[in-house]
Amino acid sequence: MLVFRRQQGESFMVGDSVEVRILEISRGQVKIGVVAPREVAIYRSEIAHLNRQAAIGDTNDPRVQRALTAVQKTLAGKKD
Amino acid sequence: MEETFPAALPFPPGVLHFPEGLPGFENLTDFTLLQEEQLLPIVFLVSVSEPRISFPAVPVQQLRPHYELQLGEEDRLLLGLDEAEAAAGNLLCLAILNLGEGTQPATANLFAPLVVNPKNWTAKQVIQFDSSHSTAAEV
Repeated sequence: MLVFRRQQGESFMVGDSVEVRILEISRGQVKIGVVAPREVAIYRSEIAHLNRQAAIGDTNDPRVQRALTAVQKTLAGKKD
Repeated sequence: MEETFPAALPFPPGVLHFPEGLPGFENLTDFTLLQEEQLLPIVFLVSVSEPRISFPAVPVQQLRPHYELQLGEEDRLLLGLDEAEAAAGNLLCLAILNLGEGTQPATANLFAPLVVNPKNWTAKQVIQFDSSHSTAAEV
């Protein structure tokens, strides 16, 4: 395994076509940006990950209901 | 042949068919578009085969009135659209909402909207490769 260090704002290339950017480092989390051609599957796995996060198991869960109502209020406010 | 539906609801009731499923849920191909008047503009995609799984979503235009959708030829054909229909821009376009956990704010995935052909209710999550839209846009 190749190991090296990068600072926030720096990037590195994987092959000729994939650039990985270290966008932000804070509180034990790293925000990474990937610039890659469309055929690179990373996009699809990221979207799958996001979809799994967004899926709701129980729409009647009070926490879900509270979150939905909050979003609905924000969006209704935007219309004015 | 226009169907009538309650005027308050933005879309007629129906079942969306995703021939390829959703990324992460490839086995779920059919979703009822559930709309409750008190939660609009939020709508829900409820899986037909696994009704416990649902996704909240918002019409993209609600968040970005000038959103420009990129639709490649492969996606256009999968949705059953001819070039004129794809160019007309009257496709239904929904952004999945991520409600966040705890104190995290809700976000919308504008990078990969759900695009629906309103004529046959065929749908696909279409990745906007060449856009700067966020997968977690502030709502």
